[in-house]
Formats: sequence, C-alpha cells, structure tokens
Amino acid sequence: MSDSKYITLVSGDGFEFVVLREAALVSPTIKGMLRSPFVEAQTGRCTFPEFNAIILEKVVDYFHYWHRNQDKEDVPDMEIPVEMCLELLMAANYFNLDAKPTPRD
Amino acid sequence: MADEPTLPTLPPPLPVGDRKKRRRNLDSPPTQSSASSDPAFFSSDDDPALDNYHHNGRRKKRYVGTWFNQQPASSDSAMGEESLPSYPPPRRNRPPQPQKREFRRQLDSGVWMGTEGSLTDTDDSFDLEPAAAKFPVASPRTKVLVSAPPTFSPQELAAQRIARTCVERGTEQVDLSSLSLETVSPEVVKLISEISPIPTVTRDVAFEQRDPEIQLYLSQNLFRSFPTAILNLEHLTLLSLRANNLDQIPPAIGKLTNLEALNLGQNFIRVFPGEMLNLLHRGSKLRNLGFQPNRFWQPDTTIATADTIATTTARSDEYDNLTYPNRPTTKLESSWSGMTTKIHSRSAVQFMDGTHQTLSRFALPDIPGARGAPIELESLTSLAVPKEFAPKIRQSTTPTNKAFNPKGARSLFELALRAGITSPQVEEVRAWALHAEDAPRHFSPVVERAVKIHREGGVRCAVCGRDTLIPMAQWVEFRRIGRTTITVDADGKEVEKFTELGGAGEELPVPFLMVGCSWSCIPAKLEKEVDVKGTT
Amino acid sequence: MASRPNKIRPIRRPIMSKDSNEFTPCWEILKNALTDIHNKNASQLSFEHLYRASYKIVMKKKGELLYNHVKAFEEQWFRHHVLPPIAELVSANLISIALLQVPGSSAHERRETGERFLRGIRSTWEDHNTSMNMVADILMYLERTYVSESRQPSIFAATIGLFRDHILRNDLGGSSEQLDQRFLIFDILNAVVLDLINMERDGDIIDRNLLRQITSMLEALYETDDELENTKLYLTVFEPRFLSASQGFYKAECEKLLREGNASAWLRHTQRRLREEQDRCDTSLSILTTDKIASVVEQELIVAKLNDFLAMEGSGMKNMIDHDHHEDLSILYQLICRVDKTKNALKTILQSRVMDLGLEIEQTLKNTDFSAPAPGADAEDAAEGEEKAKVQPLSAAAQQTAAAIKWVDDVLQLKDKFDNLSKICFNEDLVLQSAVTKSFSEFINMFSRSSEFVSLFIDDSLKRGLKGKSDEDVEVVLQKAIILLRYLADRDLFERYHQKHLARRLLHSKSEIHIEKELVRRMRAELGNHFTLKFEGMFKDMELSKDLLESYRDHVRNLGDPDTKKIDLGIHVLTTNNWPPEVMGRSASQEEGDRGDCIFPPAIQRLQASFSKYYLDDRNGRVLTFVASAGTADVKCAFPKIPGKTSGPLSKDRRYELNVSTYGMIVLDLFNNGELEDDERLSFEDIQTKTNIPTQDLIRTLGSLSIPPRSRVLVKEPMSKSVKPTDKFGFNAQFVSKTIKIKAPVISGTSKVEDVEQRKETERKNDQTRAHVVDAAIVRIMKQRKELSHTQLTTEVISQLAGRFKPEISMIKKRIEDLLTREYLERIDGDIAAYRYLA
Repeated sequence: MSDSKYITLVSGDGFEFVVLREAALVSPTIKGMLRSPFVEAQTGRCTFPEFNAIILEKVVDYFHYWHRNQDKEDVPDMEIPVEMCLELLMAANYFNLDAKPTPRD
Repeated sequence: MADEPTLPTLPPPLPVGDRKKRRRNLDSPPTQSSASSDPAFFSSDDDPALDNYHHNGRRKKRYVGTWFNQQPASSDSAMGEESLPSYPPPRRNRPPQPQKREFRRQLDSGVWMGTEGSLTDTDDSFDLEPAAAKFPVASPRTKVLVSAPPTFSPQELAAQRIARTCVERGTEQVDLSSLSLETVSPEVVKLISEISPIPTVTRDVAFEQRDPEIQLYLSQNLFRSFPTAILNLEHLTLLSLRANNLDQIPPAIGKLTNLEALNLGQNFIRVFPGEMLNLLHRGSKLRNLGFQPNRFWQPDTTIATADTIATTTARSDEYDNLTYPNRPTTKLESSWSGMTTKIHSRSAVQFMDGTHQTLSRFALPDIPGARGAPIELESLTSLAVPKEFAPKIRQSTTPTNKAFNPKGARSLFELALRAGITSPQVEEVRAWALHAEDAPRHFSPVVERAVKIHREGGVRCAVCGRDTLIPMAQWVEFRRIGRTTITVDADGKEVEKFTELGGAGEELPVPFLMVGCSWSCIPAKLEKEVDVKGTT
Repeated sequence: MASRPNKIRPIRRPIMSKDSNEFTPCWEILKNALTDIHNKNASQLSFEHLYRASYKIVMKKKGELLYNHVKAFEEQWFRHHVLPPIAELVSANLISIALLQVPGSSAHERRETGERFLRGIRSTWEDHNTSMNMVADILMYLERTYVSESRQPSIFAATIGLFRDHILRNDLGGSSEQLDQRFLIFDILNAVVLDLINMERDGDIIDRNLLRQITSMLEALYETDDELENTKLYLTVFEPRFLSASQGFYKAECEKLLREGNASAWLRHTQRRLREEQDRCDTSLSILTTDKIASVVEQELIVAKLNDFLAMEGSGMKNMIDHDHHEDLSILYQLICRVDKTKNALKTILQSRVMDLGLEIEQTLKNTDFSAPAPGADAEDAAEGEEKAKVQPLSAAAQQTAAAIKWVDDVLQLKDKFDNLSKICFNEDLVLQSAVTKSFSEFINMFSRSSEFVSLFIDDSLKRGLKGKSDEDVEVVLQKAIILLRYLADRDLFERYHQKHLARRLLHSKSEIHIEKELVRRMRAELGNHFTLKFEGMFKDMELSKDLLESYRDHVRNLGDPDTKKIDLGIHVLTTNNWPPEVMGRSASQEEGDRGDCIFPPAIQRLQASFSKYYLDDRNGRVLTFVASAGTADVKCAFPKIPGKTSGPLSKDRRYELNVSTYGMIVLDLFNNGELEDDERLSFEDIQTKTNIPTQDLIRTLGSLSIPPRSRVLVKEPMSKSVKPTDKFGFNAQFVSKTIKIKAPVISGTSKVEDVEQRKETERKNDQTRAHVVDAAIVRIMKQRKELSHTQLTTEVISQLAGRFKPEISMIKKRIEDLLTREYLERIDGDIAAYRYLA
C-alpha cells in the first residue's frame, strides 16, 4: 500500500480525493506524513478533519497544478477564487505551501 | 489539358467565424449610408461624440459627465476593478476607450462601496470576527482621509483650476509648483490626461494629431509620499518633484518611459527603485535627471578591495550583462545620447523566504527610516548565500520550488495572497491578517508588504522580469549616473562614451534597490579580475 | 443587495474537530506520542493528529513553550532510558584495553570487546536518530515558524545534539580508578576505532560496516547546535586523532622499511598502503579524509626518507635503471608525482645516471682493444697512434672506424634504454624527457670527438652497409644519424667532417646518391637551410658534371678526332666553396709551400686541354684546376712474357687492368714502355722531380704500387714495408695476378679517424672558420644596435650562433678585440665594457 502511486486525502466532511503521490509530496506536511512510520504511511490515507471538501479540493488542484508545471517556465497562475483566499492562505500555511524551503528536505 | 482555359478557382470557403461576421454585417444598414460624404454641417461636428457613430452599426454610445469631462457611459462597468485606472489621451481619429467607471470611497457617505454589500449580506456564511468588523478605524485609513477630503481643499481647488485652464488652452506645461500640495488627486490627474495640444495646421496638409508632451511641475510642494496617481500619465515628458519631502519613489516610475527630464532633487530619498533603471539605459528617452541633494544611502568604502568596486566600464558592463541577461538591448539606428548608469558596487544580498523572513546574515535597513550607517559592500566576485540553501541556489537546474525556479509555479500561499490583495476587498484581508485570532503571526508583515507593493504599481524582479508580491531577495546597487553618447559610424559599428555626472567621481554613486523574485534571481558573481599590472 | 460571488469568505470553524485548542491537552497528546516513538510503537499513531496538535499550539503562540517542553522531555528520556545501558557497556576491561593499552591483551580479545562497545553505541544512535527524525517531522510546523523566527537551533539539531552532550561527552562521573585524569566516552570511542584500524592495517579482518556507521554518526553530529558545516565532530575530534595516530604508525613503518633496505619492497609497500587508505576512507571512514590521509602517507612513507631509499645500495634507483626494473620505476614515478610536481629527486638521479653511463661508454672505448693483434692503436693514444698509423695505416684506420661505430651504437643503445624507460615507466613525462635529453647532449659534447664519430658512423653505414639493404634498414640508419645530430653542440665541426666524408663518397661513388640526399634533406629539416647548403651544392656539382661529361663526349665524338684513342675521360667539375679544401688539393699546397701542380703525362695534358677548351668555351671567366689528388684512373698494363719461363703465368703476355689513383697513373706512366730500360730504376727524387707530386702523396702512391703483393707492379729497392725518399723503384716485369682487374689500395679512399695531428689541424681550421662566423655575427649585431655593453653583445652572439656551435667566451672576447683594432668597433668613452659600431 505504502508504495502505491496514489494516496487518498479525506476531508473533514468525508469527501475523498485520490491524488498522485508524487504531486502531493510538494507539501512538506504530507511528505513528513508519508515518510515516518505512522498510520498514514501504512494506509496511504490521510485524513484532514479541519478542512472541508471545497478547500481540500482546491489544495488537491494545486498539487496537480504544481506537479504538471514543476519543471516548466513561465507558468500561468492558477485561478484562485477570491472568496476562498483566506481559507487557502490558511491551508497553504497548514500544508506548508509557502515557498519556504526546509533545510531537512 | 493544361493549355485549355479553365475557370478561375473558387475562393476557398470562408472559415465559420468569418461567415458569421459577414452575416452580421449584412444585417446592419449599408455602411455608405451612415457616413455621408457631405461636408460637416453642424458646429458640433468637432464633438468627439460624433465619432461614435460607428460604421458597423453598433449601438450609439452614451456619454455622461460635464461637457468638458465627457466620457462614455458604460452599461456594465465593473466596480472599480482597477484601483488606478490609466488615462490615455483622447484622440480625434478614434473613439475614446470605453472607460471603466471609477469607484472611490467617498468617506463622507460613511459607506464604502466595496464592503456595502458584504455588510448586508447574510446568506454567504459571513461571520467576521469582531476584530475584523472594526477595521474601518484601522490605522492605514487615516492617511487616506487626509489625501482625499470630502470637500476639496483650497490647494486642491487651485490645482484643479490650473489643470483645467491647461486643458482648455491646450497648454502642455502644467505648473503646479509652490501650491503647498500634499498629494495630487485623481481629479487633477484626469484633467491633465485630457490635455491635447493644439495641432499645427498647415495648408494643404491633413492635420495630424500628435501625442501630447505633458510637462508637469510639482516642485516646492509638501509631498511626503510620491503622488502615485501621476504614474498613469503615459505622455509625461517632464516631471519635476524638486524640493518636496519624499523619502521614496515607487517602482512604477519605471513605466514613465516617455520622460525626457526628471527632477527628484532636494528630497529625502534613501534609495531609488531598481525599476528606475528602465529610464536609464541605452535607447531610453531621459536626457536630464536631477537627483541631488537627497539622503541617499552611502556605500561603505572603507573595506573596499579591488574586486569590490568596478572601476572600469568594461567591468561594469560585464556585471550588467551577466546579472541581467534578459534586459532588452535596443538596436540603435543612429547615434544616441542619454542618461545611463554603471555599476559601482553592491551590497550583499538579503535572502528572504516566502513569509518575508530574512534568512541571510545581511539585511538592508528599513526603507523609511534613518539614513543610518553606510551600507556594507560585498565583493563583486563573491556571493554570500544562506548556508543550508547554498547548494540548491548554485545548482538550480532541477528547480522544484519557486524559491529556486523564478519562472515556475508560484506557491499556493502567493497565489491566494495575490487573489486577496488584488481584489477590492483588500482591506478585509489586511484586517484579518492583522487582527484575527486564527491568523498566524507571520502573516501580517507579508500581507502589509504585498499590499504596499501592489498599491505602488507592483514590483518586477530585476533579473527575470516577473512581477512579484513576495520578493525573495533584495540588494542595493550603487551606480554611477552619467551620460552615454553612442555614435554609429558608417560600418554600423558603435562607439560608446560614458561621462559621469558631476565630473571625476566627485559625487558618490546612487543606490538602487534591486528585487529578486526567487533565490536564483540574484547578482552574478564575476570572475576575479586579472591583475594586469602584475603580469607586465 | 444581492450577494456578489467574489466576496471573501471568512475562515470557518473547523467542521468536526472536537479537540481542544488549549496547550495542556495538546501537549499531553504529543508527550504520549513521543514516548510511543521512543518505544517504537509509532505505527498506531496518526501523523495528522500529532501535527495538528503541534500546529494548534504554535497558532496559539505557544511555540516557545512547546519547544522547551520537547527539549526537556527528551533530556529526561535520555537520562533514564538511554544512558544506563551505555554506561554498562563501558566496562573496566574496555577502559583498560582502549585507554591504557594494557599489554597482554590479545588482538582478538581487544577486537571483540571494542566491537561490542561500538555496536552498543551504534544501535543507541540509530534508535535516537530515527526517533528524532520522526519527532522533527511531527513538529514541522514549529520548526518552520517559531524556530526559524526565533533563530533557535532547529528542534532536530537540539535533540540530536543530546546524544553528543549526554553520551559522547559523558565522563561517567570519572568512575575509573585506573586513570588519573577524567575521560569521556568519546575518548574510548576514538581509541577503540583507531585500535581497530591498526588491527586492520596489520592484516586482521574487522567489521568495516560498523566503523562506517560510527563515523557517519560523527559526521551527523556537530560541535554545537548551530550545525556549522566545518564543526562536524568527525572533523573536529575524530579526524585529527586519526591522522596523528596514522602519522605515528607510518613513521614507524618507514623506519622499519629503511632497516630492511629493499627499495623495491618499499615501493610496493607504499603503493599498497596508499590503496588501502583510500579504500578505508571509501568503506570504513569518510571520503572527507581521503586526501588528508593520503598526504600523511605520502609525507611519512615517501617524502621523509625518499633520498635514502633512492640511494639504497643494490636496490635503489641506480639498480632499477641498470637492470631495467620497469615496474619498480613506474611505481616510483607514480609515487613521486604525488608528492613533487617538479620530480626533482627523480630528475637528478636520472641525469646523473645518463652522465655516468655516457662517460662509461667513453671509458670502455678507451679500454677496448680494437686491433686484436696490434696493441695500442688507440684513437686517444696520441704519439703511439701516429706511429702505428704509419706502420699499419689500414689496420689503424679500420680500428678507429670500429671505435667510432661502437661509440655511436653504445650511445644509441643508451638512448633506447632511456626512451624505453620514459615510455614504459614515466608516462612520457616531458620534464623528465627534457632532463634526460639535456644530460645526453652534455655527455656527448663532453666527448671531444663526438662530431667526428657521428660523421664516421654515417660514412661507414652509407658506404658499406646500404647496398642491398631494405628501406627499413636505411630508415633506421638515417634516424639514428639524425638523433645523434640533435645532441651535437658543435654542429659546424660535424658539418666539416661530413663534408669531407661526403666528398669522398661522392667522388668515389661509394654510396647511393638518393640515400645521401635523403639524409641531407633530414638534416635540413632538423638543423636548417644554412647547414646543408654546401652538401646540396655538392650534389648539384655531381649532377651538372654528369651532364657536362655527356655533352663533352658528344662533342668529342662529333669532332671525330681519332687522336684521343684509348683514354676515356671522366671528370667532376667541383665548385670550390662547396667542397672540403683537402679534396681540392689546397691543404697540400699549404703544407709544403707552393710547389705548383703536378705534371701530367702528355697524353693526359692533351685531354685536359681539350676539355678545358670545351668547358671554358661558354663559361667565360672561370678557372679550371685539375685536382690530381682526388681522382682515380683505370690503367691497362701489358706485362710481356718473361723470356725463359715456359710454364706458369709468367710464360705468356699478361694484361691487367689496374685501378689506381690519378697520382698512381702519373707514376705508372713514367714506367711506360719505351722510356725506360727494363731494369732501370728510378729514385724517389727522380719520380718527384718528374711528376711534382707532393711528398706525402707520393709516398702513399708508391707504397700502394710497390708494397702490397696484390698490386706490386713496381719493385722497390730495398724491399721493406715503408717507402723512404732514398728508395729506388723499377718495373716489376714479373707481376702476376689472378684477377684481371686489380685495385691498388687507395689510401685517400677510406675515411678513418684522424690522428692527433690531423685532428689539431681540423680544429685549427674549424676555429678559423668560427672566428669568421663570430666576426660576422658581431658586426651584424653591432650594425643593427649601434651601441651595446660587452655582456649584452656576448649574449646576443651566443644566441645567434646557438644553432651552429657554442662559441667560447674567450673567443668572442678575442674577436671583439680584433674588431676593435680593425676599427669596426670602438669603446665608448669612460665605459670599458661597452662598444659602438663604426660605420
């Protein structure tokens, strides 16, 4: 299970998102989650009780957007609905998606 | 067969889109009928509105406003989508661009249009924290209150009067100096933007509208911050802000590429924005630049070594070519002379992360603030980078992080921030970052900086040219300002001559604040200079 | 108002989070998790849950509290759960083995105890490292916000550092009574590791993997929690100790090798040690150390006693060179390349070896007896040599030629040897190659007769050998000649010899012209145009003469003059400057005063006149001189039958064809029919008066005609083996030969080594020429520079003439003085050592 190509992200309201593992690893949080021998790494299933499906979906969109474009240049910006910006700022914070490299990565 | 006369081939079938257009044109009245060949009959023929009788049978445009300040009424203009609209000059031979209606906060009304709806709105799960609800008294607004009073101040009225006179007379010189102005209101800017010069009419020559050449004198006023509204005056050829209280210049000044003369002397400026170099490279139009005296940062030349200061033009050009490979080089058709700069020295690079936290040992002083100690210089042949990231910065060939790949995908954080900052509800975002209980502590400075950057017209990465709200690196370049004369000889070969202003190094070089959007967008490291004397 | 779609939605309350946001419950969660992690029970924990707990704490701005709590927890855990088992490992036995070096403990015992201790450390470290990685992951948000803002050491650095502070730097309360001073566990660790390494050096098998894990642990730990790159414990503590211990080890080993006194063994041993240490760094230690330990080994095993090893009697470098120990030399070269880019030690020995062997060749030459029966016909042995040359001219000449050839062969062999060394052992190192070349040219030029010998070698090879030889053989000879030529400094001297030898070969058709030309072509390529100018002129003369002769014969035929009956003329017209003066007969006239030309027989004189007329007909202004000393003649002699003899060859008329020198022909003509009675004798003086042949030549000519039995057409009275001016000569009517064609040995036809007199003569002439060349050079330089100091002038002259010869300073000085008196130059006033050119 742990070396499957996909992992499942579960929102607080019970929606499941199947994500390319490689894409999800852009988030240091998820990387840490799958690196250590915790439950998530064994099951390939990560639950985020504090995020609803709408936000998590956007985060997943971002994972794929990033993965698609990771080696490209002049990447067009991803659409972010204005009304979600605060929640996405918080999600970016939680998932450590703020272009702040960690030395241990 | 080949010799036999054949019918001419049929024209290829038109693309679907074209056919549609055609059908629409057929529906409209014949074009000839609307454009009479008769001479102008009414005196109102000069009215620009007439130009809006379009030949293709579109609806007539309606106009609103006073007769002197007419603009097309747009049926569905978005609510102040741009905080700083631009004002292209009116042209007689084409209709004015549909102008978006501007929405400004009229503070006397007590209602801010942007938030009006949200306050009454209940269906969209709006439950702001109490702190957020308090935001109308948040500090940033006090400034706005001063700069845009409900009733026009006498100074403002005087300025408007002068501007209006200029519009009426078609005078391109707008002298607003010594009016004790503290800002330039959008009204005045709009007026100035409407100035169109009286065309020179020569017999038998169809007169031609030329672009206006606006000369704006704002010297000896009381500006404490740069009047950003004037940045939209595309056709400004002269701008004087001499003798004011400015302490910084917005990066967007780089947009005023038509400037031929610029005077910023007698202010309190610490550092010029790197974008100003846009006006100071070969092929640009600037001929005169006043920049002294000011309170510029000084380079700390006490520890200077041979590699710290570029003493030769060649060395300086090498630095520019290596660091800014993407800068467009203008192919000169003929000789050219204008203002340019040469690198003198630079500070170390201040590296920041995506949350605007400095990671490097070196950090620049805060920009408003004391003049402070001289800026420590770094050798042009070395480059100090934060140790844990050094390997990644040096070999950024596999960039998977925005920090190392300037043109790659932005971080989710920056995308969300951008969405919020560029929306009309920017104040809401600010207030939330500043006060909300659940906002992380480090959000506020990032948001504040992003708002400032956005308000001043955006910051472009000096190296790769991408705009950014979260600069990841910054450094100061001290540059010698001077005049370059390039003569092109018969063979198309260019001979270049650089003369520093103020003679032989009397004036200290001028600081420019350079911004990089990623950790790869940093100065180039030069090779150690070969000691020529040593070899002979 | 209708809701607009782009209104910012505020942060929602978490949907189903029932967890409290307060610090204490969150910390409780984390604390339990930390315990589980240490107990390896983490697989039941949810990362998200723990991450969120720490996230919440930080969001509540309690980051600092959490940081300190975690640190405190880990310290406590360390004290209670990690340290005790480690302390147990540190037994008294271990201490005595590791730190006290108590004798008597066997290597096996030491290894067992040491490895047990290291394994204990390793497993503790691995557990700790894994746990701390997991903890750091959970606390990632703390790390990224609070820690980086507050510029604290990261939580990982702080907790991983506990291992350093509590284990490595633990002194166990100074528990041992055996030691006076306190010691740390780190000291034991180092001692054990070093001991294991020494065991491996002595040939034991140790657990390399274990060592590698221990050293990578030291690489992951830093002096402080700031984790500066150069403060890794491996670099600050272990490596210095390792290097100094290794230094001691190799110092001792070097002494031992020196005592054993075998350079070859030393080379191999050093090479092996270097490989081993490299290997050790790759597998057991760290690649950070590779270069440093290599330089320790290099310093201790190579540099320290390098010269002692090289000079070792019987196995040192001299021995290696002499016995072609190529493998040893290759190793030596590689080792020296590591420590000394200039390779001075190697260079010096190589050079002195070349010199010694070169001088040895000369010595052998001196001691070798080339004329087995006749003693003392030595090239170097002055007085005696001359004596012998007279008595036994042929034999002596042959001996000396043999000596020359041996010398050349030996030199070439020596060169081959060193070329081989360079190719096989020294990687064709340019520094060494040029050093060897320098030594070669040095010893070759120290040998005063090298120029002559080289020319002789060429002469011998071309004259004797080449006929019937394949192109490859020719090629080899040519190449050898050129190689030697390169070394010669006095090239003008060689030029002189070669000119002489070439002239003889050409005039007597002793060699193949195309090979001669090829050789000269190569000389030109090697030494330049001016060097071969004369040789080429000689070739040209030969060709022109051939054509000339053809046309002359046609001319004679056309004249239809029957008078020239039996005499067939072959002639070479030689341009004076291109040919050696000896050949042109000038040397003879110098020696004996102007005696005029010899007197040709009338028949010949007619012929000469006829040719001169033809030649000068269309070549006005030239002077044609007939050089009798350089020609040969085929003379047909008729010996009438001896009356009274009825049987045997003497009983009938005999006709022989005698091949003699021109002088011989002239002499024989005197004895021609009709002028002398059968048994009339002519005295030496008579002959000389009648022919006007120079004395030396006449002696030689008469000798060849009257002494060797095979060509004794004249009888000499008294019979002896040498010709004296008092001798008388007569026609040997009883001459008999088995062959029709008889060759009278022509002395001047063989090139031989000069005797001392001749040599002095050659040198004198050469010096004369040199004087002119130096004069010319000085004038040329001064004309251009107008004024020069003495030293500058000398330097310029030497550099200008370098391609031809190395002028002696004294000679230059003499020439300058000469030019001063001849008023080409003048001294500049007040400055003795400077000159001005006088136009």
